[in-house]
Amino acid sequence: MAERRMLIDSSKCIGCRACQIACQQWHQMPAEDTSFTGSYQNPEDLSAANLTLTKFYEVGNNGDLRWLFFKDQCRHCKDPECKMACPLRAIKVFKKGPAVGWVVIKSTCDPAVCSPNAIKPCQVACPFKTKLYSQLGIPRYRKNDGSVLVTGSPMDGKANKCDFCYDRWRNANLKTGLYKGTFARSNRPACELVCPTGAIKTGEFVKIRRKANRRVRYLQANGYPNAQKYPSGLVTHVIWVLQDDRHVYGLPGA
Amino acid sequence: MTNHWIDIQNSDVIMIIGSNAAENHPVSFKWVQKAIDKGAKLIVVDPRYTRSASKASVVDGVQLYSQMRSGTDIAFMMGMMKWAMDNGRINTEYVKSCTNASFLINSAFETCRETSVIPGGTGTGTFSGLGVSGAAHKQYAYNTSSWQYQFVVANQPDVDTTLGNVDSVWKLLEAQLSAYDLATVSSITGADQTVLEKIYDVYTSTYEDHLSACIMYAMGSTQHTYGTQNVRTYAMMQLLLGNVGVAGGGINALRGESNVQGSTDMCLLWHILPGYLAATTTKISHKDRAGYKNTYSSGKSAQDITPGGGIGNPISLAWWRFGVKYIDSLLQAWWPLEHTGHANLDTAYGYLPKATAGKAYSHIDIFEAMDAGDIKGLMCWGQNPAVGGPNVGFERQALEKLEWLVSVDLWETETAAFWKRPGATPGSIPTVVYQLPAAASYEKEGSVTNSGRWSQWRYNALEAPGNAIDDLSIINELGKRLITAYAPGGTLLDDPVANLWWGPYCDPLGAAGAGNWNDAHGADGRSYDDGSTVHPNDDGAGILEADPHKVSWEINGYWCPTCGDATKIGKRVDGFWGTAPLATLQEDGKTTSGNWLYCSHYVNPGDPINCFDTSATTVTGNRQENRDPNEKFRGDGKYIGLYSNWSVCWPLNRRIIYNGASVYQCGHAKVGQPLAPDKWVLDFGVGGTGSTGPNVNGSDVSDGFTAPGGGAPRYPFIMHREGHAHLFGAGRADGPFPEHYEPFDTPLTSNPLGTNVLTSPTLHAHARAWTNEQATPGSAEFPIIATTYRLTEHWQAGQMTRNNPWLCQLMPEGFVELSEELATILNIQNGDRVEVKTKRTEVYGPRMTAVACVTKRFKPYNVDGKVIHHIGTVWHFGYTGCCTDDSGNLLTPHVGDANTGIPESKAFTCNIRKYPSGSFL
Repeated sequence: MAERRMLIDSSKCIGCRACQIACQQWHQMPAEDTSFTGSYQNPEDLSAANLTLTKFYEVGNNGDLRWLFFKDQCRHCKDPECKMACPLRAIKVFKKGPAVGWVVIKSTCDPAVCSPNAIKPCQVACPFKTKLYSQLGIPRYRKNDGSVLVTGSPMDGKANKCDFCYDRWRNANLKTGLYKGTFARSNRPACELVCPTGAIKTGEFVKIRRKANRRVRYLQANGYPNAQKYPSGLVTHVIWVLQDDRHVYGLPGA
Repeated sequence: MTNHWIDIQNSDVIMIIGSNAAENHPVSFKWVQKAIDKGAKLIVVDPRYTRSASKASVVDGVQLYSQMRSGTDIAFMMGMMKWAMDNGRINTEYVKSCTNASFLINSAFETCRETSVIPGGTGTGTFSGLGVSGAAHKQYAYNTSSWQYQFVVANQPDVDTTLGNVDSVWKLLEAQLSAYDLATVSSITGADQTVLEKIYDVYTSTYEDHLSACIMYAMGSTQHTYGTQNVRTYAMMQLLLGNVGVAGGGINALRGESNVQGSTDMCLLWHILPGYLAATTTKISHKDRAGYKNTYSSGKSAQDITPGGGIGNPISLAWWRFGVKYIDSLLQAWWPLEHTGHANLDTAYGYLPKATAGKAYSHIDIFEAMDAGDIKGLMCWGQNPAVGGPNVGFERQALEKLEWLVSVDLWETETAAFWKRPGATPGSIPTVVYQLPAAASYEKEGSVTNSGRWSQWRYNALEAPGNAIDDLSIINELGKRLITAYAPGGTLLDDPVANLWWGPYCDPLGAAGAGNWNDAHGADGRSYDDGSTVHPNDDGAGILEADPHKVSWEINGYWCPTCGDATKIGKRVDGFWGTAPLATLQEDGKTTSGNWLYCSHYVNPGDPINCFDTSATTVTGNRQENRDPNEKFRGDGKYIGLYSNWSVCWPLNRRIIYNGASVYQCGHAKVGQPLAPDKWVLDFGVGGTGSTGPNVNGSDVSDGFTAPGGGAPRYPFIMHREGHAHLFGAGRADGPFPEHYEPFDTPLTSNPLGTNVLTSPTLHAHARAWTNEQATPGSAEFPIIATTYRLTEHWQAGQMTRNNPWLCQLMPEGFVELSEELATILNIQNGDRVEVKTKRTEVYGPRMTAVACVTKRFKPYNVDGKVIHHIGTVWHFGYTGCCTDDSGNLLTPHVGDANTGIPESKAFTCNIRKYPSGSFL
């Protein structure tokens, strides 16, 4: 099975956050108890219950104003430093299958592996400083009747991150048909499946890179001179096309 | 939509105005993005920079987003029309052959540029004929006697194809537009002139035959006291550019709910019967069936209204003359002659309720009547006016005057809980509230008609929980019991109900005369909360689940014994149009049809069922269930995404209406050939007679140009008597052309257009609203403009999303967006709680507070030479559900559009402060 990559084209993102909820739904994560803090972005950052999050940036002003959206999540490094850092060996890299090369935390399937009290060197080691767990006090969740649940998620305090929905392509019930000889469209990651504009696409490693390069060139010629591919240094399985410089999004230069 | 969602991909320019498609119709952006990928340009016009605006194209360094003060669409669009005329960006051939530009108007008609004014006033700003109105909801009304065509011969409007006559629509439009120069438009709208001109330039570039542009609009356009005219400006602009009827063109109303199109088709609105037939009123022409039918047929046979009257011209189809068949088929469906025993349908016509002529019965009027004590009971069916209505502070108080209220819903809505709302005194409210638990959309079967008019059958994915049942079963029970309660009749008032035939007279599963919509398949074995298969509210008469196929069958219609053709009786009608005798809907009870537009949706000509013959037992032919994901074959491979065999579309499965205008018209050298050969909708080949005619080789179903199956050429706009689209639209209550007026609530004291009329003289506002709801124009107490809108994360009045913790997590509270400049003045920080007040909150309360969202996406406006601030807020929130807050509709006025009565939720004045201790501006 050819190694796959995900392209997140921020220039096609409309900030609808369907990806965010599809992820939460597929992983059956509880809703966090939030308040409106003056931005559409909510919750404020990634957490053990929100493995992907759309971030909103207002850049420029008046006629040059841009409203940029960034679907944040684990980048799935080719050589994951978090894996090397974990003393519990809770992080693994798939060696075969459609998710070959992708990085998962074993706690996703086995909560006993990571511990709320662990020091989480994975977080420190992450070259992107991607937030992997909810560490600010005791997590608060919102229940169906509007009341607040002060604990209750098996993920509380544990590291958790995007797992490429590896269990979707493994799930035989979803295999409704082959898609380009690999796996069914409905087996693709939940976020990709629901994206209305096709801003999220998985595909073959090399083809995705070419696609990203092509898109960047198009944007640079059509009003977005600083458009770029991200990350530019480390090799990762998730890459973005950004409409502006990475600094505008506050992204580290790994 | 004149076109459909998928067709957006064929556009060369897309303008989103009066909608925020990325926010409220995110899936539409699949097609917008596809068009952009093919090189299309996206223009976004909105009071604030929205999620849609974030995708606006950048052309020559200019981002095609323009801010536009809420309520100034008309100025924006009239400016574009004038710019197009001044710069030669007009599709002249199209304008002459397809619109009424060349028609001559009565020389007594005066545009707003002449001296016609409000009675007793001076200056300019109204059309000729304005007088004081006698209706309770209007101050003034037009006498439209001067808004008429000139006739040399009766029924043959006079035309001047050079467009040079001073009485021609073209010259009158030119005069009307003369006030809308760039500087004036910029001063009214607050749009930057450079951006404005760039947008005009890009949009009007589609005047060329092979290019098309589409307009995506929604409630931002319609919810104004001149909402109808807002939409008319879009339609007129599209006509001037030749963009109606073509692929990638049209004016596309993005419907606010999945089945709004369907419910409108089925007469959700008070002024129509199913299929847009006029609702019967007390006016003299409606006094009997012959009179009513005469309003459709009088002088409307095709040949005698040919514009210009020239020999060899195409003829006008004047489709509404067939209304005589549609009304009779409707009456026959509701009170079949076979059931009532009447000799003809005259008595059935008399059963139709008659609205008082000149009186309005829209949402606004219902609540005014409730407040006045005229309405005693209310059924809210999946509707939550205590959050969604205009001025909910007033509407919640009006609910207290009810004796009873029924809420059919999934949750206890704010409306159902109005009696215990914050600040209410439950003990003093006498209203009895009944709550009927309803099934959600995924829990029931039936058809849904989307914005593109596709009627798609849906199946239930799961059973409804608890004791909930679907709406159809609830109304089936209600109908059956009402009929029983009124039987055996005797008084005239009882007869309409007692004689009502409930359900299709012919049962598609067999026996004639079943008299209900009960599921003939019998009990489905479902268990309710108590484990019983009997619904807990069943009083012994039996609550049976209803069969939506029977409803669809009745809507489609069938041949009745009166038709006299034994081979047809009981069989489904093939359609509402056909060339052979007896091939279509008929008058005098020969056929039934619950809605002529949907006639042919339940037809399989190869396998008709005779429902008067009980041996026929097979149900087939529901075209709403069609699911062919392939396009019809096109020899040249130029697919435009019609998907004609996916579901069925009214009328006649025509995916793009008025598509007769997509080909060159009679008199042109390329008659019958498409304007845009690379994305053709119809192609009649060389000479207009080629083999690639209607229904051949992947063509859409032809509209207008020639009748299905061939025949003499027609003018393309078949619903109009004269077959030509209306640049001059005499049917509107507030003028045949649009004109800029200020909203009911305006921060200005005079019309920045320079006329002497501030607000629309014919707007829909009861005397109570004029007294209690209007802020003094230009008042210092309410100096800020406000608008309301929706979010991706929440749905309408919020019950379906505010009971979902995930969505509450995304948008947990109501918020008010305001500019950094205004926030600085008022010392408001991002995330502070703020209070917004309007004349409505001052009079009716309660207080409206929300979180401040201080943003660069709102900017102060330069309007009429002064700086005016603009804010916006969401209206999804209420006091029940998983996340609660104040509804933005506490702010909005209880006034509406001159034609439709739709409330003006999108433009009003307010003031804002940091809550609880800040000062107002």
